[in-house]
Amino acid sequence: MKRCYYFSLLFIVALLYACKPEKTKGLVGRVFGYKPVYSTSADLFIIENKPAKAVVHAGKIYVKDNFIFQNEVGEGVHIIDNSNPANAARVGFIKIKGSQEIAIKGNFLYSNNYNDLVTVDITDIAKVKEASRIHNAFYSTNSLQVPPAGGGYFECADNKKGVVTGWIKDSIDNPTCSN
Amino acid sequence: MRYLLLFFTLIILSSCDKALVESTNSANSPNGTGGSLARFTLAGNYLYVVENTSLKTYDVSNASNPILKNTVQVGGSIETIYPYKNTLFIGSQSGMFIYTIDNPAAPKYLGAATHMRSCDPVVANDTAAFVTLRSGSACGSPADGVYFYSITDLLHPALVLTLNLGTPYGLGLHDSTLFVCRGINGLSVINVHNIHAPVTMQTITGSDFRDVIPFNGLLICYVTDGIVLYDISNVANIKFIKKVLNS
Repeated sequence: MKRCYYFSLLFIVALLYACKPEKTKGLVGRVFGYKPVYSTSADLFIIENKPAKAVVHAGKIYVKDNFIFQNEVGEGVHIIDNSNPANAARVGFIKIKGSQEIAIKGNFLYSNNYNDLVTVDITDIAKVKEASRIHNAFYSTNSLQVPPAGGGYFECADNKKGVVTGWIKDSIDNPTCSN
Repeated sequence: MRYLLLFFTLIILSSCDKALVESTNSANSPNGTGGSLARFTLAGNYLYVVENTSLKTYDVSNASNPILKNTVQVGGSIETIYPYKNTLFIGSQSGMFIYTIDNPAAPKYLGAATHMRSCDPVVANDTAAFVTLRSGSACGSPADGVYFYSITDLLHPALVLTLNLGTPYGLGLHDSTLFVCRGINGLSVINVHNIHAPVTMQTITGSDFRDVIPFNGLLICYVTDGIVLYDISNVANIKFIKKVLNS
């Protein structure tokens, strides 16, 4: 009788363990949802000047001395020459892919190049260059890290597979992330 | 004797001038200025970054090479950071958090006002903090408005009043003038000299206003179709200067 009791106990414990992962792991099986689009292209991490261009996805603004900077969400930073406000004009662009933020100390501009904190030497605003970077400094600053809000369960981003450059809706298996 | 007096007056005036510049530290600061929607901000030799739940501190004494010094957990869904003197004001969906940077390498929590739910930004001066709340956004604030907090005690920010103002976005503070972006409803200019009795001076329309930076007598406005510049050297007579269109 006692042996039976122990067996039952063991059985219940085993059952509990078997159930546990499924209960806490999101949706089971193949569902329709957001899936990350990855890129491993080295070009995504090249910081360089580009000609002035139109603003498409206007982002945050920043001012330093005679220049106004405006983020082009996910693409980089517009440069506006404000030395004479009456003639303020867009004069150039700094390509910083994945960028959403700007801060400037002296001749150095800080931004996020996707998940990296990148420092850009802007001593010569027409000839900028990368000064340093901290890899994977942040995730949540980069809004590309998660799909558009309210999408429910999605396939978790795996940064080992590359940089998340966007999201597509597709069949996904056992999604565990949600928003 | 008269010349001597004039001479002394000049000396005193010029020394005042110098002291003023040094104490405000705006003219000679190597740091630029961001809008109220920023997640990156600089104070002295430190770069502060707010992520979803944390505040990261980077030492940028060597500006070309930031070094991570500190990470503190602040709370859920942080959106913005605003520096004023030795204080950081952090805007999150659950409220406003106040941190001191008396030790700039390690921000320390002082106080919070967490009774509202919104995701809009904060600006502040010596005695007051202003927070905008917008309903209908993903943040679920109950009603549109600008919250005025007394922060004479940074440990206990006290709600003074709520100004009913439709569709507020980013905001900016220039002396005792508060500029509130209100989307397609314009840019409201409010005298907040007495925070118990704010006076709306005017609302400038014609653009979809999102954020502003007051800077050396200039108001730099981020509007959905460009950047608009106003002369605010006399806030009683704000003058349009230029609109730089997106395309």
